Amino acid sequence: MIAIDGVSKIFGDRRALDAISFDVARGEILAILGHNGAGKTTLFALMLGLLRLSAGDIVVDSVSVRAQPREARRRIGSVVAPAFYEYLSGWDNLRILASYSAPVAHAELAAAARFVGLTDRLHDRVRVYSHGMRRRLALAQALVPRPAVLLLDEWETGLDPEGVRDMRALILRLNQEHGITIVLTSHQPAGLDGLCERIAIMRDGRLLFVGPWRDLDTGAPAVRLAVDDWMRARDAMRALGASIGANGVVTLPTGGAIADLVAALVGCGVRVESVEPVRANVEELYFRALQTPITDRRPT
Amino acid sequence: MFLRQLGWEIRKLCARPRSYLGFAACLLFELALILLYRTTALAELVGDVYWRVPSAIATTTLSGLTVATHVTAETTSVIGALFLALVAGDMIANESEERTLHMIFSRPVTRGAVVLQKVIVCVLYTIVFCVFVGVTALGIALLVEGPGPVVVVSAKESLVGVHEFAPGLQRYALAVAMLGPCWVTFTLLGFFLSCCRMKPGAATVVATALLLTDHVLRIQPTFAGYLPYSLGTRILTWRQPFAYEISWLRIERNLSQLLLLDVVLILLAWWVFRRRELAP
Repeated sequence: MIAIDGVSKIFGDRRALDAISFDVARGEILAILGHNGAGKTTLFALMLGLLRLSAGDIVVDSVSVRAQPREARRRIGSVVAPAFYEYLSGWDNLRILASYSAPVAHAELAAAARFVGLTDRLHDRVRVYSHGMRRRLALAQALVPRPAVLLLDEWETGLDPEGVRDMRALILRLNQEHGITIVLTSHQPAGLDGLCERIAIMRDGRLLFVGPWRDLDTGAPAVRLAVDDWMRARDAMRALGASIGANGVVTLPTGGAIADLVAALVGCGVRVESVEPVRANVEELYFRALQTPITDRRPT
Repeated sequence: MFLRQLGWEIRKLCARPRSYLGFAACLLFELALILLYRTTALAELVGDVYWRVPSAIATTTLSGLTVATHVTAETTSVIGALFLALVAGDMIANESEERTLHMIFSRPVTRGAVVLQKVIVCVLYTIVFCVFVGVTALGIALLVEGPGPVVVVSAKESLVGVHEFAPGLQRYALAVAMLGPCWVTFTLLGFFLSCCRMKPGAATVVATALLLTDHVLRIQPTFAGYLPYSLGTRILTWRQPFAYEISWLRIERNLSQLLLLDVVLILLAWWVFRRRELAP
């Protein structure tokens, strides 16, 4: 659905994006992670034609952003630094923004407002909206007319936990019920693992990683053990090169197998009561990836 | 689509307090000026020294029509210019600053279409604004001073005209109809600056500063050579219908030059704006 091919953006003598390449499949949710200034929003701005490409191209639904920026934008709904006419109502804002895309029936606008749960306050001026309501309005405007691709920049920013939960549910519904391809950016990896299968990680304008979460987890395997005799168990584990951490967590050496550990323990006469694999959480994986030297990981 | 978007541009303009604040400010300014000129001493002084109405007829012929003509000129030059620059300076610069422009251009619309819509709104606003000033000035002046002949004298514009009330009123109507198109050039100057990478306030200040500089150069005898190139001289073409013999040739020439300048400013605005990147 989206093909980003060797995209670079140079501001003066600063290279904001450096040869970024990856694809997003139709119907996929992909999260782009990275710190502030990593180039996530710049990439979105290039997709929307707000900035000019310095090199490379982006193809959205078979339409080149470089060759046909208007046609490409026709396929994209976006929430990138949303701003509204504060002195007008949410309804008027929806109508104004939709008028720049295509004639949209009032029923469709109302349906978008209903979808994001903004019906009750839709005719209030935006000036009195809370941050959460503005985010909902921003999402509603991105849905009219119905896009093939939805870009959500820092989708959780400024939302309280309840707002994040609701927005997350909306994103999943949009993807699952309407088949919209969604690319979102965040600098908070927590909670993203249930939202998307694949992620891209950017740092300083370069792509560090793109792929499924599990591909990030290349560290040494770890297990949480329960045994009857830790003294004997320790000797057996040391012999294998495993290290013992807090709460019974044992980290095996790289390439070590859990089965070998259990066999060694049983061989020493230790009764193994339980073995539970311990996976690094998404935050650990993200920070681990961020620390990886850029030359170590090439885009896949 | 274009007309629908244009309709929303007009709706946005009408919804902003500063758009109609100018109308209220002009009305107050006109009222204050007209009441001020009611004081005999000031009326003689202004009539004789400033408006160049011959002293022999100044006290008797500062009619509603004469006062309306001069008050219209002063109101558009002072308050009008300020609000026209304010509204035009806001057109792009303010939307860029508030980032609503980013929302618009995230949609499949061309920059040329948006620039054209905003230019049309600028032109409409200027014409409505100028007609409002001309009509309200006439209404208040006639109420306060009553009907009478109109006297307009301006050495720099080689303009002398004294007309009875009925023909004077016709000339006034023609002049007010030309007032808007003459001021459109100044509004478009503000609009062009708004398209450049500057704050809305800066666009307003630069536009009014340019007009003020032009005015200063125009009235200083030292810069007499500048007079034929002055923007102000051309803007004041709207007063030509008050001449004894209306010089249509001069009106046509000046309006053509203003129109040419309008086109240049619109093209420049479009050229500058289409090259601009909208950083997120």
